Amino acid sequence: MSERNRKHLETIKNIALVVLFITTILLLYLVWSKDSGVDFRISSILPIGDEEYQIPSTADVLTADRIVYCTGNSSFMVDENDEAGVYDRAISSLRTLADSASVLVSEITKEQYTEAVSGYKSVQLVYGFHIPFRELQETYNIKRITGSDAIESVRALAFSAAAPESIFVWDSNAQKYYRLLSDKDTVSVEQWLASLTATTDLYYPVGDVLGGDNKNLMPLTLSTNITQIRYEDETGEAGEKIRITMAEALFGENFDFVRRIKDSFGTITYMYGYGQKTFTTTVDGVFEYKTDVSNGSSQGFMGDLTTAIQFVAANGSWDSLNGQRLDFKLTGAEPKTDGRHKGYTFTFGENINDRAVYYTEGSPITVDVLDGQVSYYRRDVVSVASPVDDGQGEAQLPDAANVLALNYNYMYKSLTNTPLSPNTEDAFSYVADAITYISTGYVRVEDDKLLLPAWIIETEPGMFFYFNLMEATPIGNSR
Amino acid sequence: MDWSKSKNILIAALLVTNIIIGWFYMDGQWQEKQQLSQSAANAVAYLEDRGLFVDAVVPVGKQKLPVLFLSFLPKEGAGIQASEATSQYKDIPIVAEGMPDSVIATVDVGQTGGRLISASNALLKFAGDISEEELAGGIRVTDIELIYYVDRRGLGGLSGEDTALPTWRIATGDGANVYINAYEE
Repeated sequence: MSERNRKHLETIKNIALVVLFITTILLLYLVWSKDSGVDFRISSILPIGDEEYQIPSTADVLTADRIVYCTGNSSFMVDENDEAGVYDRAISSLRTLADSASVLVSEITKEQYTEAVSGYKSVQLVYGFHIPFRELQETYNIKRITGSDAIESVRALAFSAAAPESIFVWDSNAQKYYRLLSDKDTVSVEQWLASLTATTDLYYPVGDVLGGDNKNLMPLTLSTNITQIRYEDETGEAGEKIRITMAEALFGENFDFVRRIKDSFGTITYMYGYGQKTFTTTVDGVFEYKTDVSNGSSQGFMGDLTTAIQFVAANGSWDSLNGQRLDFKLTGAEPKTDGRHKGYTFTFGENINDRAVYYTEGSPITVDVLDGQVSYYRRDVVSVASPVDDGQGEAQLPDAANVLALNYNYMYKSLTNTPLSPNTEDAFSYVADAITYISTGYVRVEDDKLLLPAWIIETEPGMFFYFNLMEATPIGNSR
Repeated sequence: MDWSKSKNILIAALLVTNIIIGWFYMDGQWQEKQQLSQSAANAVAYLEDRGLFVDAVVPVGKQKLPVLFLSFLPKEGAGIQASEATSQYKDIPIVAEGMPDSVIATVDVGQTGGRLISASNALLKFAGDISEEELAGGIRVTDIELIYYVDRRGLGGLSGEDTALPTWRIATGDGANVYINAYEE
């Protein structure tokens, strides 16, 4: 064979080898993919989408709604952000008390409780929800207090200079009050009060200001430099990418086979199966997820809360979806059941510039946990676009009493669902008796994409009224 | 080392390997087809025992298909008649129910193909949803066909977007159509 022919033959052999090698790989792939019944996904092999996400602890979101300090002469100061760091000290005092050699748990009357927190220097941690007392002890590693089984849940923990060896508990679920009496002093309320410097506005019992017996608190006047804020929905310009990322996270490996429906308003619904699992996104940046839950067992308040916190961290974020740092706290926790499964509905509120943001409808984050599984998740979070300079700077606001005087008719009609008011005095007394708290914060006005500074008036039965901070005109209300 | 001789040996080894793997693959395919044919025949016999008579050819074979993303526009625009199966993907008709006044404007194909249940499985699922009383009266299946189906009844609107899933359409003797999701659970 000539040299040329030999070279030619070697080239053919080389090509044949490459072709046969590739054919072998292809045939192996065909056999393997057919027999294994498993689809390969690059994402399941590479660590794409497995980024670490921040999960806050239950203690981070389980803070008191407000801390109320009584100066001892029927005037109060309120700190909604625990600037004095009292929350940790209060839990620590409860732990110290539980470690005492002898602790006596006794039920007291509402009058005795009120006297302890209003007649003396005192500090009261008021929650916006009920925490099962036993789970509170377990969460903070507090030794179980003998006889505390009678305390079903905690709405407020109070410390009074009248009884430094005691901690008082308000169980609003059972409408009962308790005193936990130790054999030694556990708190120094004076010290706590001394460390309070930032909050200076004074609050008084509503009855003392407006007449009547209402012991709930309201300020006489407030000074503030709170200004309007223009907001945007949290997804910003990356809305579609974020929507798809969230949908992929929620549906997992089934995402490629879910039904995607877009209506003429731009609302997109992802649906798996015959509606066992749905995820809806609106053009306003609201996300809503619903799924059927399988049989399981309820994990209790803290277990369900942990599940909710982890779910939000994994499917969205505890910051805004466009990366802005946000501050959330638990604002509501209601037991929930669908007949077969039990759990809780948790609502989380959003704070901007240390002020709570109120919605006339819904909450920033709502999570239902049934039998230890998330069955519902709604996210309607706002992030700051830009502050609006209204040129007012630090301003003296109208008196809270004047806000009520201008609006009690509107409030009375809303509270009683009647178009007509009775005589002026009766309507005013009715509203004054119904007030549970007055504060300031932001109210979301969706049409203008604005967070308006507002008076927030909370009343029985769980109703919130919002009034423009300077003009005291009604903005709206919510339940 | 004699590279030429080594190459000969390698070529021979790869050739034999490919023949063996190819034979395994083809044999597997053939056996699966036989199995599916047998399953279909068994399913039909079982269903006829229960009172569901299949007067149609039951398709045999398994495949993987992706979802289809459809967009709709009101009828005056150019496109495909949505309420009828005039559009196709790989010879599979697309049926959009509840959109008689709209047309399918675009068809986008999903990223991944999902495994489908066989036609005989779909028939068994269909029979499982029928009560014994209804079966006792005798039900006839006149056709069974794989389609892409989306049900937009009750959603309203002439435009929008939706997703068509591979679906087994089972036609019965009384003229009704029953749709069974073809994706494996």
